[in-house]
Amino acid sequence: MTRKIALGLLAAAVAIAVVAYWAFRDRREAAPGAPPPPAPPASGAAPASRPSGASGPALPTARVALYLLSPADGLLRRVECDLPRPASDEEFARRILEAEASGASGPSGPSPALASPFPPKTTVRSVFLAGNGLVVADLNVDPAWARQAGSSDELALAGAVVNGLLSNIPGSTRVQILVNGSSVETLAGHVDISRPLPALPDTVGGGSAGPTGAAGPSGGARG
Amino acid sequence: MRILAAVFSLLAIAPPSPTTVTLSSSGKATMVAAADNGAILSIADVVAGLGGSTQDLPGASVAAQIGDHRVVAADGVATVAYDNQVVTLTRPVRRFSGVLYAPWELFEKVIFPAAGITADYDRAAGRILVHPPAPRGGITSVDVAHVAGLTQVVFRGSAPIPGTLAVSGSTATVTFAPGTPVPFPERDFDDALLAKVTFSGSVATLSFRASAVSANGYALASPDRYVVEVTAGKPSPIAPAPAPASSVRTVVIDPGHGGDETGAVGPDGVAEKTVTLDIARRVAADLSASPGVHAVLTRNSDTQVALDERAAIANHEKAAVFVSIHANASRAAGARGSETYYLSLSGSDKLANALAQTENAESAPAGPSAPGSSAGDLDFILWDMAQAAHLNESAQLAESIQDELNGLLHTENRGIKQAPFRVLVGATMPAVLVETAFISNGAEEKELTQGSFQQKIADAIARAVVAFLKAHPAGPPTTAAP
Repeated sequence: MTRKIALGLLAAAVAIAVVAYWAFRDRREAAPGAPPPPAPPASGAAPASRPSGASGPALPTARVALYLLSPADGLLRRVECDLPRPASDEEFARRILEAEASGASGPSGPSPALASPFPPKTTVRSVFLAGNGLVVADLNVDPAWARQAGSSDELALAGAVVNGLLSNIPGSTRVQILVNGSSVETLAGHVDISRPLPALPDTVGGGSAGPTGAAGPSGGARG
Repeated sequence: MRILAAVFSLLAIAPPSPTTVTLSSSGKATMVAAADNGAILSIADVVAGLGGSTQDLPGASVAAQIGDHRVVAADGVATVAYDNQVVTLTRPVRRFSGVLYAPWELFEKVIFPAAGITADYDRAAGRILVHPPAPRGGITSVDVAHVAGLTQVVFRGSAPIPGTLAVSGSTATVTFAPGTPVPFPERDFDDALLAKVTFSGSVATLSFRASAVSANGYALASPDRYVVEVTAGKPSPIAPAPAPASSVRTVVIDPGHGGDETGAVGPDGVAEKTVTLDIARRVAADLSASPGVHAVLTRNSDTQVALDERAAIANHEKAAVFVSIHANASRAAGARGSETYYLSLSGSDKLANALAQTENAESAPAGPSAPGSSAGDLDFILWDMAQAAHLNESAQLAESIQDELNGLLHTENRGIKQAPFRVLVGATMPAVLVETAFISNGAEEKELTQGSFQQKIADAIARAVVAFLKAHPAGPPTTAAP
């Protein structure tokens, strides 16, 4: 009888292990061919969505330059604010874009008069540093927005992503924007994002300086 | 015992552990972890098998170092960074149990070229066979570029590779010297004209998608290569206008958007595609009334035209000027006025910037670059950034148009600016994009629907274009080296 109970327990344990294995495999591998899951946060860094002050060791802060939309003219403005500075540059880059996406309305938000240049439903999937100064920013972009966006809106989004990363990530020189994990021709029918972009100083208005080290004029139009 | 039997039968249908395949290189065999029935392979294992190294990076990504080349891939992303380039895959890299797996495509497109080798994958047998680098004198790679309706097939060699081209219907053959090593037996290409390149011995067969093509082949040096230029035998989808007299110069006007691509829509429902066509027609009429100017529209109805096709039409027409007309939109309530753009170069394309700085250098020889010239390195940048050679003239044209708009309209002057507009990239002539007004602004949306306002804009653009043409007399056409 004892032997039967032992065998039964062993069988139950094995069955649980098999079921757990299947569940784990389904979660991780359901995939091939299916839309990829959002990239996980950088290892060793706090999740970007965790509000500052949440549990875990407090991060040091860093002064960053963000590019936010001016409702007055649709151009970007360069503003500075303090953000938590994770050890990982990738996580830091992600936080910069998420601060721009939120309009930097957090506790260190620079100005309520400025808005997010990210259209509604546009989110940051992942950011990674590819070496040689190339930063890759992967965005979720709302197809409905992309169908009817104007050049100004599209340039504001591209400019905020590119200028925001190049201004703050040490050694970065170009930004490749991806949409849903893939390289695409344009964000919304105008701006060529099929190749890595340098700073976009003409997306910045009001005499603000463009990203540090950016070639060409620093913001504003000529003529 | 029955319970145990049930458990064991359950185990029997459990998925097998990840498989392995064998990578054979230079007589050495390496085991490579595989998953999804061998459809995806461990990046780290393959790289190690080729003598390279990998380093895990934060964010579930990995950097592979193969010789002087660096490749970065990330979990869930179908794009990898390869040195300064970005390569798109048809399916994303995946991470299982801390290991990044990639489809064969990554290795074929990136990893093996970085290692200077080619390889075949027998998935059924679970074996990757690496071929050693082609000996000197062989064809090392085949590159394809498509610009303005022209496909260039470039056979690159480690030494001079003279060939002989023959065209027959939808195929062409290039016969190289007997015994010339070739890089692969067969490869498909995602190109508008070229479908496949097949090697049989030292003969390359090019299979085209069009039923008839015309092709021209020639060998170049520094670097050594054999170039085949291919155009479709059928006429352009946009019927070319009657050939103007030689003294007449063509201006291509591009009404933005069209068809299903409405462009921006104003608060009262006015579609950008409608007003851009109205204004473009007026510009074309104005220009056609000017002596010595012939205007062509990229579309003259509510039809969809791809961005690259618009510049291709201008190239096909051998236009002196290309003007793309748009109406702007912004979520910013205060955004209003007109602005004129010309192309901004990619900052990474330092060579293209250097080229732009030599613009209008009359002494620069046209056609194939001289041996030893650094211009040979510009090959694909030139084709990819056809507009680079016309940036100064494009800036002058933009300034001229914006000045006229400022003088005729009472809208706010937002100035001339540079941006990477896709529609301008392939244009091989001075090219600008005019944002006439903000259709997202209620007041300007109303104006954009008024004939008098549209005519003012058209007059301003036409006057600026005519002035620009007078200031830039027609010269001999220049072409870039392939």
